[in-house]
Amino acid sequence: MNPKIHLFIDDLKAFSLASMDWCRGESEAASGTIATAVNVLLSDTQRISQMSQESINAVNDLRDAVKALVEEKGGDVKALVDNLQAICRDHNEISSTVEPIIEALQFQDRMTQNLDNLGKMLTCWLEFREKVIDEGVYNDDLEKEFAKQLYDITTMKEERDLIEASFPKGERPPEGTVDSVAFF
Amino acid sequence: MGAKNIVQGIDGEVLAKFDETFTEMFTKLSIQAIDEAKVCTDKMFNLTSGYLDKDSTQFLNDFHQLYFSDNETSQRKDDVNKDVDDMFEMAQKNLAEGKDVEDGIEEDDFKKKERLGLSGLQKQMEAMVSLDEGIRDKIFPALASMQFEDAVRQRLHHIFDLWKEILPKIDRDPETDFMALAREFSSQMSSIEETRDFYQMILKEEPPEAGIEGGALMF
Repeated sequence: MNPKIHLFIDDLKAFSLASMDWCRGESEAASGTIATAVNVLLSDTQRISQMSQESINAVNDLRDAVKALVEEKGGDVKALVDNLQAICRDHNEISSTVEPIIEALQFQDRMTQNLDNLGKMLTCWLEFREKVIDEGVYNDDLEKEFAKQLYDITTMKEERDLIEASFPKGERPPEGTVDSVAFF
Repeated sequence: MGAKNIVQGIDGEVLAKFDETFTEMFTKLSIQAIDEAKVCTDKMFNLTSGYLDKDSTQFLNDFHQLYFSDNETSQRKDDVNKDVDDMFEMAQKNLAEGKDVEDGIEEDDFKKKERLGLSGLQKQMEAMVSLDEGIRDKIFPALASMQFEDAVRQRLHHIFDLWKEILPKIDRDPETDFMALAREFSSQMSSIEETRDFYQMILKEEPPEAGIEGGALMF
């Protein structure tokens, strides 16, 4: 390939990955926004006054848990969500408060995964593209190989659905593993 | 039919097909990520509406709709902003030429209504924030989430638009002036960091001062 074009593609890749990194960083920082919303919610004295002391304690634990997640930046969202779901089960009167927080965290986590995987797929494609150019051919075997590399990057069913539709010669792995986000 | 473009040993059309299939999928995956950002904002609005009064919640929803709802609303907002820019530019030109400031500036009733409607909503938000400091903390998560969604949407669009525009030319017409094409693209960048990255990483130069205003997340 023309070396100038090769360098130009490298530059486009660097720019794209920098943009995706920025989006991923902002997505992780979004948990800080959720923590702020939790704090506001917990300072609602009218709401708090209607809660039992036990629930207030549970909600304070929740605030600490979200704060820890924000400070770790990119910490274990799934563990926090599991913890919050347990709080919901144990303290029914605060479930309406906690559920939107859980959902917001789940979608924020999904988005961070989406962005992470997008960056990896872009890199994978550009590397594979070099191979296709070097070998001078793009056949069923190469499509299979490329699809496998893409499947290996995925963490969500929706991503695998799109790979299957785009590269049908690839062998889709069974959906044995559970996505890292479990919805209500 | 012209001669085939051969990229090293491979037919450019075969490579283009491979690239197009991937970029189409990449675009769909990016749109999924944008949809996740939208759901994050929606959830944050649900959360916020739990502690805002009805009027404030309604206002926030209106504000959200103004930014994201549908293409028509978004187009109206862009049109109003463009009209205001045009009017301002014309007034400055009139002043520089020693003419009456309002010379040639015409605004029909519909445009005026649209402009005042948009301005009213913006004023309402300023008033809400300045009159009650407590409300700023309350609406912060929703506004920050909205702005995050907008920024992610723009950034991802720029990435897949860039690849979709440039790759077919690389595969089919490698003699294209790619730097000129990239320069045309540079005007679409919308934030300081993005503009700086684009100029430094692709155009290999510093961004013009005028091109790096605004766009950073405020909340």
